[in-house]
Amino acid sequence: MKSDPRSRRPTNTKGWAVCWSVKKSEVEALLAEEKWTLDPEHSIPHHPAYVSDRGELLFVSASGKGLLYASRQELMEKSAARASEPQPQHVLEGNLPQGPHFIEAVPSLIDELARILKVPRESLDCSFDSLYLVEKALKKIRPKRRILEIPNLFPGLIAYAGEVLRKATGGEWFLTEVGGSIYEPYIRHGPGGRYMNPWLELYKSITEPGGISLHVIVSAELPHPDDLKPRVIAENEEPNDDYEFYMEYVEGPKGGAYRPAMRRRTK
Amino acid sequence: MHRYSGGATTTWRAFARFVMFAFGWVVLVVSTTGCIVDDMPALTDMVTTAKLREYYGNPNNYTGITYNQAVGLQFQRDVLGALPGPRVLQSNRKPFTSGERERRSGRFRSVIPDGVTGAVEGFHGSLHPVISTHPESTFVEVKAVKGVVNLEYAQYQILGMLDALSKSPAAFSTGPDRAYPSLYFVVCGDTTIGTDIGDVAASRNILVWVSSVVDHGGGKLQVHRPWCMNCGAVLQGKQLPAPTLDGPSFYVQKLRASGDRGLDKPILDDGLVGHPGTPGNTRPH
Repeated sequence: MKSDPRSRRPTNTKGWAVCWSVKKSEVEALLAEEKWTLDPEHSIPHHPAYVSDRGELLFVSASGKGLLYASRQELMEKSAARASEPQPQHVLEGNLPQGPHFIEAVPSLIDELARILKVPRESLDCSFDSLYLVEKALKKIRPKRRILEIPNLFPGLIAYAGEVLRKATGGEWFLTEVGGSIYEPYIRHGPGGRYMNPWLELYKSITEPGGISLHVIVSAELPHPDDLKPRVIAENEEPNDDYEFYMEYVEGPKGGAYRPAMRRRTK
Repeated sequence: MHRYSGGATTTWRAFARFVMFAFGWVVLVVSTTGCIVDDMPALTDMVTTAKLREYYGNPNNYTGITYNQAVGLQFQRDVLGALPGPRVLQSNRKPFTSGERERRSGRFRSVIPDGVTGAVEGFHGSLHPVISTHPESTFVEVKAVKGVVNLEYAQYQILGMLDALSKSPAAFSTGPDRAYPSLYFVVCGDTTIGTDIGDVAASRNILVWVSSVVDHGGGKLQVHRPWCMNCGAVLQGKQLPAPTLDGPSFYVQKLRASGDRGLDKPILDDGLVGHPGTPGNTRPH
């Protein structure tokens, strides 16, 4: 094998079983070099898993890429331990310790944000352009899930994104108590009580693949001028029954898939 | 030799004249009837990612992935408010743990579907009408993606959803009128759904639904009634769900420009950065 994935730095998160992302060519080389047997417990259709004689586990995707675990046994133990952990019921659970006092804590959280991100406090002027500066500083935190682990970083980001929204709209902070003593902070604007959520998409961008576009998240929350008017949503007066939508099967280079299609309805 | 060559030229000229004459008729017929193929829709079509970009605009001059995120986020917000059915679905705020996703990706331990709702015994549609008997058993995922969404999409996000749904309350429903968990995609015209999703979902008794979004022109969109991808496999020997209605039509708005709020200039009472507004205000939603 040209490059052994085991010689690289593992790609797993802290506390998880040791594993390496493996390219398609490396998967082929691994399967050719050693003796692997199919692991039915971890295989799913189109995505097989193999166990080697020395106890490694190799997940192979439909596209041919893979994930190599150093030890199947270790993976099983970690999975069992994870399954016994309590599951969060809300994205803010354990991530916003300020709870009912969050609004009062907003100024100090922004001060702390500047300190954690090592940006001048005066540069956090609640302008949209300042969000780019925060994004740039966040890129230095790797893996990005650490953002949730550094004390008061995630609450600081919520506080700052909310302040940008508040400054832009003239709205006010607003807390909603949900089950389990969790308080959801919003910015409320306008007579219709338009809510802006500075935390949900932020959390998703931290915990899902892809970058964190704080600027996009905040601008998507801003009310459009037309949001202050009743929104135009109308039931279909005359549904067009001549045509129907369906999903047609297509064969692509990487296998079959269904795509939306349209055809004349057969009477 | 010369005469033969001239005859061939004449024949070619006559043939070219015939082709041009026939082409003229085709153009005339197409321009008057509006279509050439019987199955080609004349007025409506599905919205594509390119068309969405056109409707939403790009006032902030985003590029690449950032712009995709901006369009996807706005599309998600618009669609969740106009799904087929009587209710407006709120954004989901709960992460659902998936051991299978964590094992396959090595990093991502949960999924956060765009929308979550329940399932009902005896009802095999995509979105239940009013009251559900099995909460958190239907996931809604809005995808404005040009290309294939399959199990390994976004670090096995879809596999994670199927894994979480296989542990949802509806997954443990039994009896002839049992409830089924559902994964409901709302997609663009250029989004395709991999067959591996339907296969794995069917093996776990999870229904997969797909709705495309219809483009009525001028920014007016509509979520079409859902199509079941694997009902034939999951509901074997049972009556297949009756077709539901389309969602209400809605107009999309341009993305917000960061320089111009489009709102009146805010009047802040403090002029200070970080003023907390109304401390301790905990009025309910």
